[in-house]
Amino acid sequence: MDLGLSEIQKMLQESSRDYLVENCTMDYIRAMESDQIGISDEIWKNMADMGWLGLMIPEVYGGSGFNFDDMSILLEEMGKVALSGPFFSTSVIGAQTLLLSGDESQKKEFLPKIASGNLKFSLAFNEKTGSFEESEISTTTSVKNDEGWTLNGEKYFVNDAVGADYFIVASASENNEGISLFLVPSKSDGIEIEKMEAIGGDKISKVNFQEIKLLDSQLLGKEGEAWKTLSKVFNYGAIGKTSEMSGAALRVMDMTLNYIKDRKQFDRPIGSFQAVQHHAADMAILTKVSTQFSRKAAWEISNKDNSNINIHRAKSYVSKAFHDVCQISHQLHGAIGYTWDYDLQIFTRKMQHQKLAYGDTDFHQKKISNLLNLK
Amino acid sequence: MKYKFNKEDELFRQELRSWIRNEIPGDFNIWQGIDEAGEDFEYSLEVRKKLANRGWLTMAWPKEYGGQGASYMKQVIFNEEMSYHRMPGRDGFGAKMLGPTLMVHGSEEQKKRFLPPIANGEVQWCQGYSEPDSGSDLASLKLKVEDKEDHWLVNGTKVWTSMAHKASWIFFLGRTDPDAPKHKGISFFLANIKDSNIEVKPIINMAGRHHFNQVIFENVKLPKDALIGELNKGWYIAATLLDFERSGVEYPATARRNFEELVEFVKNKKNSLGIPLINDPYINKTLVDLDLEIEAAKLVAYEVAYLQSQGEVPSIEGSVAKILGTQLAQKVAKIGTDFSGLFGQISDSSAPFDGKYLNQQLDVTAYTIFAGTTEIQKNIIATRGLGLPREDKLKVRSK
Repeated sequence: MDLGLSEIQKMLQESSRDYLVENCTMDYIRAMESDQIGISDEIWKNMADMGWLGLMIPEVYGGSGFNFDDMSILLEEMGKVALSGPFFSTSVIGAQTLLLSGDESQKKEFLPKIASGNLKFSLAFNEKTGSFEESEISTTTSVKNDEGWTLNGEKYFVNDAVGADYFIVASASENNEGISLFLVPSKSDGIEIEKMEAIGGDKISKVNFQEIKLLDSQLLGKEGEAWKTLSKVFNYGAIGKTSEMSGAALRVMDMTLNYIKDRKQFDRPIGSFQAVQHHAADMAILTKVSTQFSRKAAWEISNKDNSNINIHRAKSYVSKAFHDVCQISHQLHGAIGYTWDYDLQIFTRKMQHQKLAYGDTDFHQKKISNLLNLK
Repeated sequence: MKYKFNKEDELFRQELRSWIRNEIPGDFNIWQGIDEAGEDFEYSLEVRKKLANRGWLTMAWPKEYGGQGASYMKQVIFNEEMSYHRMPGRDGFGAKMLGPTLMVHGSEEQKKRFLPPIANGEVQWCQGYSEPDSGSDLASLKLKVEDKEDHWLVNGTKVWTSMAHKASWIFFLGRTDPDAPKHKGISFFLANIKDSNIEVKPIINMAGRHHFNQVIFENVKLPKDALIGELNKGWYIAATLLDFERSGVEYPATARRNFEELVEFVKNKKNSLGIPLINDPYINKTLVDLDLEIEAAKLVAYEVAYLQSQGEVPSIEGSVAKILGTQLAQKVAKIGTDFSGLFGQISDSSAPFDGKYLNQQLDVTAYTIFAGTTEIQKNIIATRGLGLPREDKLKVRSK
């Protein structure tokens, strides 16, 4: 049992914290909310130079060769500054999907370009139902023909579609047996992107794929066998979001502590009142447990297996805990925390995406129920 | 980062587990544990001696005192398995609290006299801290101990003293300097509780059980060597008690066993339409929520032990573990009772588990009160952990 960080994780934590605090200020985060892509070219380039974009990509494909538990430390820090944007879609979801299902030539072609910051990816999985089950794919089809394939379908809740160079599209394969993944260049004819108004400024879109012609070489993994890959990718996604939330929860607690130590009423800091202190203690409990849940799940994904109960426990617990932390923080901030100008609300709005992405509490609790054989 | 016990620890867990399962009378799957403070006390002492023989009772003690110097993680495993299996025999007051205190603060003679009986599992100690007017504000305690040259004279009352009716000895805090600031006039003493001037009066708790007592000292004369450590340093000596494994892992471990038992129960129990209760979405969700709370308490307990193993003194983690663990115990008892339907008010053998969870619901009410209430724990987290100002230390300008 070693619940501390390794030397390399400590270095990653410190260097990423320094960089993010300096460069991803709240002003920057606010500006990115109305930006189309959600990241500046300069920061994207820096992320490539610092090795973040290829953090989990093996060195043979031009990456840094780190593990997911290392990535979770970086994501905690990103969560602390409320950084969203294409990093997650490209370097967590995109890179893992390619690593898990790409053939050697696809990996050689695309992974180095992810690491160098030259390609952005976006996974188009969800449809209108919005579930993370295999049954979600019901209207998107890929039909085989002489030249290759024809893809049709309308995708919802697609993250970071605008600015992506490639979509990874999940479709029902011809005989409707299983899901197939295709690499679709975003410049292809027949793609229409429509923005969905996300409360946290996250880039979420509807993407319509109409009569898209595809070659065999664009098939990612085996026909009809993508669910195995996707369920693993979603676990990375779920715990990635969990890490963001556990980091963000610490930041929200920090903001709150600073405020209640400083704010005076009745001639004393409000943080001296026990009614306030007990709320603060509750935040401390929630953040402490959240960090342990998310790190344990991240470690298990890296070192044991990608599909175990602790992933579902972590996402469902931390989603609820982070929501509670934000709620308590608002309560303790009083009126000021309710204003647009105060930074707290940024976390509260962004939380909504983090909670829902890659399975909400209900989804993961049902998985727990199944894995505990509660039937 | 490594969220996994090492091989040696896992081997120990296996060894311990098979010993326990062998030791439990009858089938361990249906073993419900015993009331160690009640009629089964003698059996609990028997097991304690066996634990002593295997070296497990004092595994946390340093080798020079006959212990194993076991790691914190190994201690966690020991407590986890013992609690999970509802195994009696551990010795919280003697082996875990007084023994280590004597090692640090006792004289050579005191160590020679008192440590071996603890290590051999031969003696039951109890702890005299709380008084009728001193609960959460323990340092305000008043039990008077006067220096009479050749002896100490003790007068006063201790209360909520668990196990006093089974114990042969008591360690306690007394006021030795009434004029000093409250933390600085307290000393730490030992007394044979069978002294004819000490009266142990039972207090029956609301579950109808006799776990704790009032202990009345009336002109009790104690020899001079009843004092442990320096005079008037008792408050700090008592605090050293807390530096040993206190992960609180017993709460989630106990809860996990109860969880599994309740799952079996709702799988087999059918509603009036013949549908097993587990298929009720509300019951299913209740169990999943409970699973999460068990894991939460366990993660924090492991973190406490981990920090201790790194030579750090857990600050807020110990309080977090206590809060989560005790709330968990209350939750399990309530769920177990709720699952019993109308039998949730019946405590005879017609009720599921003979009304065990109903009785537990009454018993565990004490958990969030004893050993530092939840409110005191939150005060500790807020002031020591989060650096918030203490309300009683503020000098408020009056206008």
